[in-house]
Amino acid sequence: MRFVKKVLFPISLLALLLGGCSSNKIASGYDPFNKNGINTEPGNFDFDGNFVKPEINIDGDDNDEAWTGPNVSQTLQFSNNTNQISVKLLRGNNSLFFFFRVSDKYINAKGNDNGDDVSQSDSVEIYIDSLNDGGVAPRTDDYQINLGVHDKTRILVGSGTHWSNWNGLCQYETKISGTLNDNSDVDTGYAVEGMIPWNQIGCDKNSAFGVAFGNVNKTTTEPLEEVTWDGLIFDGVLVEPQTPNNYITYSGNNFSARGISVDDISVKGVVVDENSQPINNATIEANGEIYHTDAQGRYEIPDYSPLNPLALTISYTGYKSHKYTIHSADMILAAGDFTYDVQLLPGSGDDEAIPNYVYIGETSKKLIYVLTLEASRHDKYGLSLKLSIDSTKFDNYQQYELYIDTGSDTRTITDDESWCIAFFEDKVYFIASDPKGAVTRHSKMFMEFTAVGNVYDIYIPYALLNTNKDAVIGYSFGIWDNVIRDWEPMNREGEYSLVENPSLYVRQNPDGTVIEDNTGIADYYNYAADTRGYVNLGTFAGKAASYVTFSKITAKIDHTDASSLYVQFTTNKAKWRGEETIELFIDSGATSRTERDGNTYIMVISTGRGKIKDFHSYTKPETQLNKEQVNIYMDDTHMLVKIPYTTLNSSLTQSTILGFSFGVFNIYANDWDGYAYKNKYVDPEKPNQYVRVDSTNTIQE
Amino acid sequence: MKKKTLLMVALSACLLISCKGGPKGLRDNSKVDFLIDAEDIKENIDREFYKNIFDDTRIEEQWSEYGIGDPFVYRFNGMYYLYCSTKNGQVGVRAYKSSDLIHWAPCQNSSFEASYVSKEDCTLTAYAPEVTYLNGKFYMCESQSGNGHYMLESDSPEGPFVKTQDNFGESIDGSFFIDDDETVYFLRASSTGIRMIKMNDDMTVSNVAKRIATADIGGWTEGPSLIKKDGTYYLAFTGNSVLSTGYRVGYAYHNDLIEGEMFDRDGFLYGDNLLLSTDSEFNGLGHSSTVMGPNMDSYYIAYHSLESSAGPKRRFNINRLMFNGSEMIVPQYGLEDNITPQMPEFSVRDGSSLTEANSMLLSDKASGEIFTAEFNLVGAGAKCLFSYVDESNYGYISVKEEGAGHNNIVEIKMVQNGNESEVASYELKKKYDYSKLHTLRVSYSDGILDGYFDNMNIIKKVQTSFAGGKVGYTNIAAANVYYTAFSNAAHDSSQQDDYKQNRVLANTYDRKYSTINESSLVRLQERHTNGLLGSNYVKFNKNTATYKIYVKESGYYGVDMRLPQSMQGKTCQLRIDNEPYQNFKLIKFEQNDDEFSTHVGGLAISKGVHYLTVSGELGFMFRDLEFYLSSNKEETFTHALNDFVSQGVNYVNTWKLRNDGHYALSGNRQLLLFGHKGIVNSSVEVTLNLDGDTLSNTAGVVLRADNASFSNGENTNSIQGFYVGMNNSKIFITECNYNLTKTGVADAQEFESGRDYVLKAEVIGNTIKCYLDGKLMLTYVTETGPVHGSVGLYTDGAAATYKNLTIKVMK
Repeated sequence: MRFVKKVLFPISLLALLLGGCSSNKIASGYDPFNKNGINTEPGNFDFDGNFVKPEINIDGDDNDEAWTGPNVSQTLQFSNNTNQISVKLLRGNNSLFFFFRVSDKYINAKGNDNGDDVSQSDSVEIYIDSLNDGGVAPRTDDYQINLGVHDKTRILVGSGTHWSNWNGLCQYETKISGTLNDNSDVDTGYAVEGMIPWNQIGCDKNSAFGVAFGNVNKTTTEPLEEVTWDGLIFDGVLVEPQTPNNYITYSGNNFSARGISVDDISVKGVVVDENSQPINNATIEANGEIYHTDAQGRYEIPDYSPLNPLALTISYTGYKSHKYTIHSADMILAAGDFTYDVQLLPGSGDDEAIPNYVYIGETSKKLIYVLTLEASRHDKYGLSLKLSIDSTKFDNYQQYELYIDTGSDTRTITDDESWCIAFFEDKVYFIASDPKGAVTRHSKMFMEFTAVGNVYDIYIPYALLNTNKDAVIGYSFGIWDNVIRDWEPMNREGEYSLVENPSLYVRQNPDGTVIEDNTGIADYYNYAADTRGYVNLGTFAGKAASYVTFSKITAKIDHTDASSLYVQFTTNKAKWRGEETIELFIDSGATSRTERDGNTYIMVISTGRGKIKDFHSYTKPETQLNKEQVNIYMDDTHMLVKIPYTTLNSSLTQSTILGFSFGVFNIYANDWDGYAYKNKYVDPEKPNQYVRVDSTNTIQE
Repeated sequence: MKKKTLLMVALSACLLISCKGGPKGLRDNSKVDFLIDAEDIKENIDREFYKNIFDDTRIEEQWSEYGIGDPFVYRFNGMYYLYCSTKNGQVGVRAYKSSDLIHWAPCQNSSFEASYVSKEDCTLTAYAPEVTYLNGKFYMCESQSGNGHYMLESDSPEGPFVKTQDNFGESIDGSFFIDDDETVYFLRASSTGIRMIKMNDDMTVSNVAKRIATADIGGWTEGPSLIKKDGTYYLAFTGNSVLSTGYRVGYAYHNDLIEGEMFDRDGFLYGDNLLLSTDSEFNGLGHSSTVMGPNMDSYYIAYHSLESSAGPKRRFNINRLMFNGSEMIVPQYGLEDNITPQMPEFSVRDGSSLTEANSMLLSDKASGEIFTAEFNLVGAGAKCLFSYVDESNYGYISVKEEGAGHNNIVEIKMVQNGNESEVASYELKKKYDYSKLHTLRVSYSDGILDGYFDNMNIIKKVQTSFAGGKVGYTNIAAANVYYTAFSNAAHDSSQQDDYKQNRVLANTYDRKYSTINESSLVRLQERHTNGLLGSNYVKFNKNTATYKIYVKESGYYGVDMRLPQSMQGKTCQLRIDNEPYQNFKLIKFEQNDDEFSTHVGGLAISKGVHYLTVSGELGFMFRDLEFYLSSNKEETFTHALNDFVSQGVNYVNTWKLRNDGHYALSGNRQLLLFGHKGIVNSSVEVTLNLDGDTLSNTAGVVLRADNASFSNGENTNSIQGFYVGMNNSKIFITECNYNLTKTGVADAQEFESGRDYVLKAEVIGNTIKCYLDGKLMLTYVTETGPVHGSVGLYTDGAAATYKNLTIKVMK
């Protein structure tokens, strides 16, 4: 067809020339070969740039006139630990502007990289749900912009399940009043002024969109030191930013809380009798409304909002009335229709699972208050927990971390079967699998979490934990006290469940009973009746660590018995302190050795219940020696450990000269203290320093 | 006006040459020696286009939020099967099928729901499953999260695949390759390049994986896909990180022509980048697989692009792959304007659609003079007919069963006037089970015939003579007939029919209009420094090469070429359709290596289908030609940089305004691009002030820039272009191109921080110059470096302020 157009060529050239005149682009590039009159004139730079110049001066000051103009939002305020944060938004023609002012006594940042370092540094966070459509996880219209005091950014966009990197062209400037990474003085704080071009997030000046705000406070210059995070509280509720459903709506210049939008669902199921035959015309009372089953036993409650729990009573003549309230969290998690099938039992009265809370563990009074955890397994869809405090209410300077483990009890490190729920007051920070790993899902929406007076009532769907009602569940928890700046883990009868170690968690059977590990618990020690002849090896531990002073423990040995070694410990405290574990080092090898080997044995004994935590030869830490053959006897202040020589080594006898060293580990102090003989430290790592005792209880000086 | 005069001089020079050359060589503005038929130049082209990125609206039953990653496409019995990686933490391998490479449906078997072809425990997080068919069994290898491979087997490509070998190691991305000598190899990823093992006959692996020299994209290299075509091995591979926008495909090739020997791993030569794009909509291209097209005379490359590094979420893409001798090239890859694969002229799924006559089953159509015919059948003894003219004149290929102790022989025979004669035969080295499906194929063009058994090219380039004709079967009492097809293409002839959109190759000219033939192809025969051994130049000897092209947008198109060194200063001629030829005199510069890349000139082209005719002075040769939207405007772009730039700019990262200039932060890599990608010759001058100590970090400008990646793990070299930069201790020019980066030139000198330097960089032709405060500091000559791109400000971690920018674009 081009050939036909050849005739028209002069016209199209004319058009080009005319066009050129009006746009001041004379066809200087007239080309005798360009027979088709194609415009070859567009220059190399004749296109719009991809970045909109800020309409205001982005300099970390809100002194531009626009910040006092008609397009500015109200100023929101929130706190993070001792930081006070204020934030406001400004709708520009081409961009959204935001301005944070943060009071911070110590301005600190980690590293010099973009990305995760920003969330470990003093930083401000703005979250945008550009379509204002919520969601239970960040989607592709959701943006997270974290800006650090050190000019570094962490800018993310949702993927539908989590956050991933985004290369958005945001502009920002930070202005610090104080000194960065210098805590020798007290700073005032910092301000961050920023801009997000509308075209980068698919919004315009008039869009309503969702927002959330956060702040990270880094209090020390130590690179690995913990940071605190907090977010905006709006209408008394934390605007938790990992779940866009929680965001507040920014429309015009106004912020408003928005209802969580979750699609309505059908709740349906089949009602059968004791022979699994469908029951026709059974009555279903659902939140007061009445439904009936059809001939196949089917019922359906249509168009139900999962945001409300659904109380069901299912009854039929001659059968017990089945009662169950479907938790909102379970319906939301199901993300679609919820199926609830019922087998009715013959008889009268109600068929209803009754909560059966069982004591799991508690914290000591070290952090002023005692917290107690109870758990019930009555609900078929989730765990019911109560965490209570021996005070009238929970204090906001204490943060709680609840650990739930769905994996095996042989694991000594947390992994993706370990879940952590961190919270304080009525705010949930996060629910994460593997507390060290990535946050996978989190929102109060997926669980029920209420603080009533001095009790937290918590319901966690099994589905959220990737487990089910038939699983054995392990528990631990701890408190972080922001005033004392200390941490305390849960204990059960003096046995501590370190949150890092799932093998130490308290485990609960599906029927609610706690798996009690009573093996190896000390028998009563009738100290007064013990007439053995001991040699005194002196005391170990006793150092003062921050606010805890270690117990001073005296050790005695009796090496004269033909079959067993007797080791006796005495504490200087009124009672053994369960947070301490005794470490006993025994060496049967040559005295001159400076390195431990297979002749060195290590026994770790808890002082709570006298359980042996660990017993192995130095070279085989993975092989536990026979704990069963060791007897431990205790009273309030004494402990006797009876070790048959052959448990250490089948060829070992009473005649062997044995070397000893000791240590104490204090869980509260997270610290260790060792043993000194005649004021000389006996390093457990150096067998040649061990105190040697022969078969006549004589110390080999 | 001055320019015009120059052009006239060049033209008259050409005229003189042409006149001396003989009567047919006459070409000038007023007279052309042939005309393109008007009907061939249509506004709307007669081929369909498809869009890339096959999202879940186009391929259903994909892994949610994970998509199709590590796509592997396998052709069997005329169907395509697409297998992909299993989403993390999920169990099962999902697969899809298609007859045309464009329309896909989930695979289905009786055991599982749609798309699942296996649910074995070992398919938990099954990465990069690949499949091969061998003598009745489909073998699948996959690795659990990349931690060693499992082998699975099935009777059907749609599964169910059942585990037959426990983890036998070998890292990740296992891939099968069956050589023409029937040997099976296993290739896999490693941090030092692709490794390969010869497999045992029972498909186990007991040897040590050996590295294939040069099959290395620089660092971690994965996703091997090896094919052999016309005696050349082409190995595509990918690196480095699947989460990077700069994830890319490169290739190595091997011109081994020794019959029947296991190929030499050290004989591979590095080719070039095959797929690389960091565009925001289309990036992270990789983990390719190479598959023969539906017309059996084309190849396609399947790969994924990265949608989100979370997941990671990836999408399937496919593009035409072409060859120029040993050169492997994807001439056009992108989201739009991809031309739908050519289907065979004739195809049936089984014998029931063939016509029975004279105890023969025959197609209702006859092939042209050039043809490729494929036969799939179960059972021995059948004669697969091609070139069937009548019952006394035809050719056939069949497997002749020998007695015990003998191997079977594949033979090709010709029947002329009822007399049968042997054309070629090949004794298979291994035993095959003829109760299973086998594939026979013949390709014929211009007196040359190739024969294939189960996709192995066992009969190579036999000289013979066949006419076009029907295809079919005879002697099928003991056989079942399956997919049967022919196309009117062979020996890459379909390369010459396709619309080339970005880049044309020396052997893809349009046969109808080109006056060159195969003898005009000059094969690069010796090992060269930067030429691709075995690739072709097209050499002009008073003739022309014409290429059919499709232009999406009217405008001025730049033309670049890669040519042998001897073409320096020679004249190239180009014309569009029947317009006059334009003459372009090529650049001359000092060069060591044997090839150079250069800008040739430009042409105004309107939207639609056109014919681009290339010629040149006597003896003119080139290897390939790229054309791209450009501008023929000389202009100067200035900006003080004390404010954000709104026109002609692309901010790749966030820049700050500080010190009255554009400020790059320390510790960041930053890029700010000016102008479109078609800028060839330009200079950029800017005031640069380094902020704070710069040790290993640098700041500067970049010329002819494209495809920068800023993902984690990428570095200074993760961009294409000439980086002219400095820091406290040096000034340098680097030819950046990811793993193919060339160090360039550098000068160790002290430069102060906190002081204004006027840095000027200029690229004209193949020479890059760097000036500081008006003084020439460095000169670098590129040979095959980038020819066009944008101009940019570029930093590698040094904090710096840029002010007073001037960019000049020159012709």
